[in-house]
Amino acid sequence: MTGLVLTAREAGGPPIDLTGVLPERLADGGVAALPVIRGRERVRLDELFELRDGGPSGTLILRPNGAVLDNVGAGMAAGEIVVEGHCGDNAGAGMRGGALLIEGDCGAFAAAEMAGGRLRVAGAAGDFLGAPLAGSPRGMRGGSVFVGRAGDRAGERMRRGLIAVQGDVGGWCGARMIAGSIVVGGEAGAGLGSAMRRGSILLARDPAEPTPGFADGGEHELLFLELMRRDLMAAGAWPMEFPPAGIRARRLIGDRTVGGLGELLVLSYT
Amino acid sequence: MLTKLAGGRIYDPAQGRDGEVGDLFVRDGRIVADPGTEPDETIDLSGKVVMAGAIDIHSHIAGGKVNLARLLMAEEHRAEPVTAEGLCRCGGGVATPSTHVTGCRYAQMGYTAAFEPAMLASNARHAHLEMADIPLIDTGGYLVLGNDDLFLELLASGAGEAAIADYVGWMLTATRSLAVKSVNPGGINAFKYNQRKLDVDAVGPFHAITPRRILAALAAAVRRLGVPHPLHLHGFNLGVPGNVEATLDSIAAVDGLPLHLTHVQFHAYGTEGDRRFSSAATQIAEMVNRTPTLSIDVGQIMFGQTVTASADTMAQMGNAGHAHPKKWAVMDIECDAGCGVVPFRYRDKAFVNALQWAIGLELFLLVTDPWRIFLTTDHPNGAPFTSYPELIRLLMDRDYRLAKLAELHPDVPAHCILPSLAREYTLGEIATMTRAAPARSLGLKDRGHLGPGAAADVVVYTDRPDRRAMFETPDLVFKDGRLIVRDGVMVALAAGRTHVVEPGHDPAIEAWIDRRFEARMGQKLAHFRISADEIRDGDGLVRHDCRPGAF
Repeated sequence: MTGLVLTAREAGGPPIDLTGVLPERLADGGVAALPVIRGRERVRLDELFELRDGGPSGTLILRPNGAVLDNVGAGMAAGEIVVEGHCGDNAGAGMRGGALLIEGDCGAFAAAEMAGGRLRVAGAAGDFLGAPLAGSPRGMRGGSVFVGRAGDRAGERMRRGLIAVQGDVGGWCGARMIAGSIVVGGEAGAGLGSAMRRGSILLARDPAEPTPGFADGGEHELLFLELMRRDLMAAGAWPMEFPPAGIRARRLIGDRTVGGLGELLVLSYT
Repeated sequence: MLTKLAGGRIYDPAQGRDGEVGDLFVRDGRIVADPGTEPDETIDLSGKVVMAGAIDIHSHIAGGKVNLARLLMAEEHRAEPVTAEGLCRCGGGVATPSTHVTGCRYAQMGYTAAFEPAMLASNARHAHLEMADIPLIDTGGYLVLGNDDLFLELLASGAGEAAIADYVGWMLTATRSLAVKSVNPGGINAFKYNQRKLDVDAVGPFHAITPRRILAALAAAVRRLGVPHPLHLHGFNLGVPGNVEATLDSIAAVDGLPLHLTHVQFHAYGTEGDRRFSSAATQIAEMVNRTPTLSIDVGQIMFGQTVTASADTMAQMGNAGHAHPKKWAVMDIECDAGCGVVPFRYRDKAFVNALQWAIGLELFLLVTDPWRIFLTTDHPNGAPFTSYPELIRLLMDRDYRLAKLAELHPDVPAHCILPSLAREYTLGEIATMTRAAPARSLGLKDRGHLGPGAAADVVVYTDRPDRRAMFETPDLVFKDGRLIVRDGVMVALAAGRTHVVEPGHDPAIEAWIDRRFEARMGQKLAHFRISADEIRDGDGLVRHDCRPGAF
């Protein structure tokens, strides 16, 4: 048994909401008739996509072809989705397991409230990566996210899990973070870790605009950093450039304005 | 075009019809007397139950706090989405649905009017825009007065009854309102000076006047102006055990003037029993039964998740600790009143919630005159309005009611008299409390009945023993003569109207108000006042007569 390749029939047009089009549905058959919403209308999946078998079993390959696809992999629990292009909003939102690989960029709220599984975005993710959806008190609570770059509020109110950003992140990264880990290889914008309670934000360089409310906690050699580096390198997601031997970290503790004990770890190598 | 609705069993309490088989004739959106000519269309309704469109006298459907509740509870809009494909436009939500969904869900239950009972003056324009966006149902707003600084200053300065009535009349007209509401009179203002409790005879901070004086002055102004609906009062100490005393005090405070007490269930608590929380429904019902100038709506709670939204910052600040999920907002609004939004989940296994449920039902069953008690859940505070069919079943079916009671917290039956109440509402009584009575109370002469001249808002039900199923999905709903719902499914959209009063008053008061606006308020008087053209693009305002002093 093979996977399924979906190729969008039309470029552009109104956004297509792919909620419910998940690898776990492949086994049921009847994928072609799944209802999806395009703009204001509800249509069958095969009206918008050309379907053909292909790829490994349990894998869904999407070729957006310029169409805007929202909610790709939202709520997925198993299997794999590969997007050969860009995604719209909510990619992998509420994901519980499986893997979602986006070869281009994706929009806002990627991995929002993610609970498990793995999201990898080769290009840039929009704002609210791993953040809560509107109305919720908690963001991401498990799983791992590897992206090239990210917009504002990456990891906002994050509860657990890992976000690794190869390049730059926007403002308010890790704001109101409850726990979990964020790794940033490039520049981080203003408001970094603002009002964070716990959790760790690893930085390859000093924050350009340090957030007030963090106290200097000295330099440390931390065993977990080396373990994390090996793990992420194995996944091809260690964002720092130079090969290391012995990582040290300057620890900034905060955000003290809310009594937080989170940490910004600025890494250096010996 | 003449349409004949033939052979239905007509429940029209305003015309004294209680299930007699008869015909209705509809022409140009109105009910007409039998013209004796051949109808263009005949719809056979033999065996069906026919009523006027239902009217919700108290339902928070628009305005600042409703939007704040929508923002705060965004997750329930995600959980219950309505997609754009049908007539109802995209939206969703349960406790505070989006505008189109509100209109559609009301219409699907046979409601053709709902009134926003807490319109703050400074929010009125927004509330009107939002109500105009709700399709299918008629709307209107009750203006919240009694905590606004202008009114309190006027009262504290010793202004006479005439000047106060002029102010109230000017405000009603300027904000395009239908009635006067007062929320915890004096209490919201006292809250701003850090007070957490205010009884009827306590002297408030700053203006040094008692809630009793505020109440008496507002009730007198409403009568003097001849506004049809009596002062619509959200009383004192909402939700606090023992608040029945304050409720009875507030009835006494208006000194025999007409008064409507709203969501009385939340104001009918005693302090008896081991848990210091008991039902005082009997005391309230006795008072209602012997006071013909008094009407109430119940504000029944139903179990499940909802969100409470109220101008009563004092009560909402007290409730904030019970927020579920844990998030809430309390704020001041332009010195007019306040706003508190606290999500809440009523649990049937929790003693307090279960007893609240029983107290509401006791009120329904103990008040004998269905013309003076209205069916409400104080949407969304007690429950979303979509729970009305279930509530009707509880009122009409004693066995069902007792079965439900048996599922609740085990201590509840011993703390209330609900098990001993045998009354079952009849269809005629339901038609009274949901149609004829609210229309009469609000002064809507052409709604809530099916006599000649009435708007052809007609609902056709199949008489089913399961009253919930019956009232959940009417066979047909007509709005102004147009078929909008068939078998519970929307078939057409229609626009509602906005009901207002424009009581006569001395325009000289405007100069005084203008000076105060210039000195203190965030907007100018000219911007504050809403012109008739702004309501539904100038099309759809219905003005109702005021009869000064006529009670």
